[in-house]
Amino acid sequence: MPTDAQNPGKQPDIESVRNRSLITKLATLTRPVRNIFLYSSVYLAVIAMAEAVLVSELLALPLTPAPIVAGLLTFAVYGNDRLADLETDAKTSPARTAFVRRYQNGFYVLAAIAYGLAVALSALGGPISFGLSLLPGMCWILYACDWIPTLPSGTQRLKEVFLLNSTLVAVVWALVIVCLPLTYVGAPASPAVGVVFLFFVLATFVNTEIPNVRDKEGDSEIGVRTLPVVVGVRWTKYILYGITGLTAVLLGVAFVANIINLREAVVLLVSLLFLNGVIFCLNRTENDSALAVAAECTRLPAFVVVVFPLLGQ
Amino acid sequence: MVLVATIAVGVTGGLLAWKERPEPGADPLILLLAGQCWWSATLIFRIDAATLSSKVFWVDVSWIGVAIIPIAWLLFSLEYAGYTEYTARKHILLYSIVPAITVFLGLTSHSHQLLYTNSVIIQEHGIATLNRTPGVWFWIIAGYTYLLGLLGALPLLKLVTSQVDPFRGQSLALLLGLLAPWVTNVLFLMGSLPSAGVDPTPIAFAVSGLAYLGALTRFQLFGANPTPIRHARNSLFQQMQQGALVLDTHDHIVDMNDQATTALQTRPNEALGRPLEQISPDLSALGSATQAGQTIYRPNGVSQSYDVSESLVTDIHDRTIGRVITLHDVSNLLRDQQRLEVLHRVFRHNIRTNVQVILGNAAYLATHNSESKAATLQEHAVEINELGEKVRSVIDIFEQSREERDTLSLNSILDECLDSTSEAYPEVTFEYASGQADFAVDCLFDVVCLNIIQNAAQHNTSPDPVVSIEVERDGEYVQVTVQDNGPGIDSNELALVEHGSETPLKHGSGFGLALVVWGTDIAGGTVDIESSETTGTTVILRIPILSSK
Repeated sequence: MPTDAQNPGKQPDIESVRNRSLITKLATLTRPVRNIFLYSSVYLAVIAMAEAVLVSELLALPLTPAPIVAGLLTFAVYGNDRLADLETDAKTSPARTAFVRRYQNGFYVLAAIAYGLAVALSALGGPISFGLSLLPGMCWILYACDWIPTLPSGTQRLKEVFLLNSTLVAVVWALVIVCLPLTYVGAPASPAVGVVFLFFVLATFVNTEIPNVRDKEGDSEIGVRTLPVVVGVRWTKYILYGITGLTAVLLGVAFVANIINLREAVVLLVSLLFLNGVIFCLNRTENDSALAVAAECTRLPAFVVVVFPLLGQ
Repeated sequence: MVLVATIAVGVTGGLLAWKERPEPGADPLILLLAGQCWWSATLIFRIDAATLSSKVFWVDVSWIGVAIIPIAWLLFSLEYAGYTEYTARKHILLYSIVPAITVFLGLTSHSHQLLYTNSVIIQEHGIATLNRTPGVWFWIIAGYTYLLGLLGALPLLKLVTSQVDPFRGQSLALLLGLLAPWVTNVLFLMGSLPSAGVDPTPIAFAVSGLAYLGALTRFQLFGANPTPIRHARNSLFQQMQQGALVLDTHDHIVDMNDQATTALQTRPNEALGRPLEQISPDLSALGSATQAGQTIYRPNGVSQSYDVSESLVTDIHDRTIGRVITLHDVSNLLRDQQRLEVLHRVFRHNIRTNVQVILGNAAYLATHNSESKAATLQEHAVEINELGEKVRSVIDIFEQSREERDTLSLNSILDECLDSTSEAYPEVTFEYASGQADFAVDCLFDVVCLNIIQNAAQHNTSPDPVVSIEVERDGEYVQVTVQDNGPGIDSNELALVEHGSETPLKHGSGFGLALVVWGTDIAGGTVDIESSETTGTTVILRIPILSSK
């Protein structure tokens, strides 16, 4: 599940602009599209849709509007999150912040329309689906806003509360991604659903903490307590390895207990493998932004593995 | 699909309104749209539900949204149009009583027949629909909803004819948003819609949502709204610099602002509703004079003066329905005018005297070689020069009265005054114990103290001239007493101290005393002078302490 958008790539220097090759010309031409895709959280919405499709396939559910709802919700909530954190993100993600600031009014309207459509479509899935679609919005208000201004001073936004911030994000998104496809078809919550849900909670938690490594200084300055801020980058990596290891054990146990089959276990393990690769690269590469995007994309290989064979049928 | 569109538009509109918080009307609009969405969503769930109990359940819980809508609409309308005095917490609680009872009755409808007396599933065109017979409370909440809808529409109807384009567009869009579900609901209740027993009002909310979205985006609902208009009219009256009284045709005071209350030395509850003649006979007596132009009102017992003017209040038929009397405080203006008159008169008198002496002595010198006449001539020329310096000091004080001034240490003021005066008048003995508790005072007291001490030394003709200075704290003031054993001050000079101004027949010969009196007055202090030919002069200066040093 996506957690945050980054600032991948660097602006080309003057020399490279002078000596444009076909590829660089192409890159220049496609930059506006790339910027919209990355900075406006569209790519996160696409990943969320892919994850919802992946869940539907893993749990053998028919395709419903759930992936579209998940994508719209992701676009709306992350769009709003970026708008709310314009000031604090300026240091860690300057290019993205500049993009969002430039289009902020239109961006907000688009995010509002997206959320409106998501809620409306979810109503077709029944009351639980409707409630699930409201959950990210309500949690975002709790998470990112001073939503009750009359509370005594010193009251924290959930975003600033250690571990609770990442855990809340992980649980809410896992609920949306895993439970929405179920509610649309009225499928019962089986043990396999529980395993997939736990997988998404743990993996999304890891995804949330990966960009926090890059944002460590900024978070520390504004008082947001994340794993890298509290225990340092080295221990953060150990903890994240521990969580992915625990997830692998969970999958193994579930397979042995015949809760999930081999295909489902392998597909999810592939995703974990990629996630471990990203954790391994933390602090070993200068391009932390690309790492954060890579972490968001770690479920895509699993999606490809599951969906490509279906296309041939 | 229309219901889905209603929810989509409602949630989008709610989020756009959320961004505008805390603009007046934003919160109620969010609540209104939330209520509409909830009603629409529960209708979808009700249509999808298969059993009677589940259909009944979704109707019952839909009352949460249904009951919120009229309160939210009324609050939104009142806040938007600026009637915020009716949106206090106690009002909200009052408006919420009937809706709260309705929600309770909705959630407990299985145990009574107040909302519905009967619920059955009927087949229409092959579709199973719920048919419920309304109970007593159903008609109560329906009537209440219509009442609040109407009350909310009234402020908007006034804005339809606003001179401000956006307000016209906004109010029309909002009224359209109200009318669409209203008309739909009326037609449904009258049985004029083929809706198979389903209340189609939520479907009309799609139109409402679009209308609100239009008001938000096309007409900048929260970008420009009329909320301040009513408050501005009230606050303009209350906060205007002038005092203002509104009188009816019988000269009863029907409204007055704080400034007028101060000017008339009364309280609103004493004055309102009573004839002006009883509250202020002096002001009432000005009546006809004000109609001719302007006149000055001086209340008894205070030093304030007011320029009074009057304007008639007429209605749309051009009938006079009252008048507004405005009181413009011109105390400072009159005081300055008086001071300038004194300045001009004394300046002209002294110059003329000196010039006449100079001319007389110059004529004598033309024919006689007299050293004493030359000295006299020189002496008067010096006096003219000193006079010029004094006038410059007075004008400087007037200029400083309009500016924010610094504070100075009283000890350092007195030390410097004594140093310069004792140097100029070495024969005078000065008695002053310096180094006492120090106080910060207005810098204008620098020139005031210098003139008092200089006058005490300069005009002291005693064979053993003594000037003593005492400093003593008196609450928020410090009292500086300067006493000399000279011949005292002429009673004509003291007129300036006693009356704050001079009469044409009584005027001072110099500006020293004027500097002291005016400088002290401008700096917020007072001067008292006791003078006698035998005991000399005692000047008591009360100076406000600005802070302890």
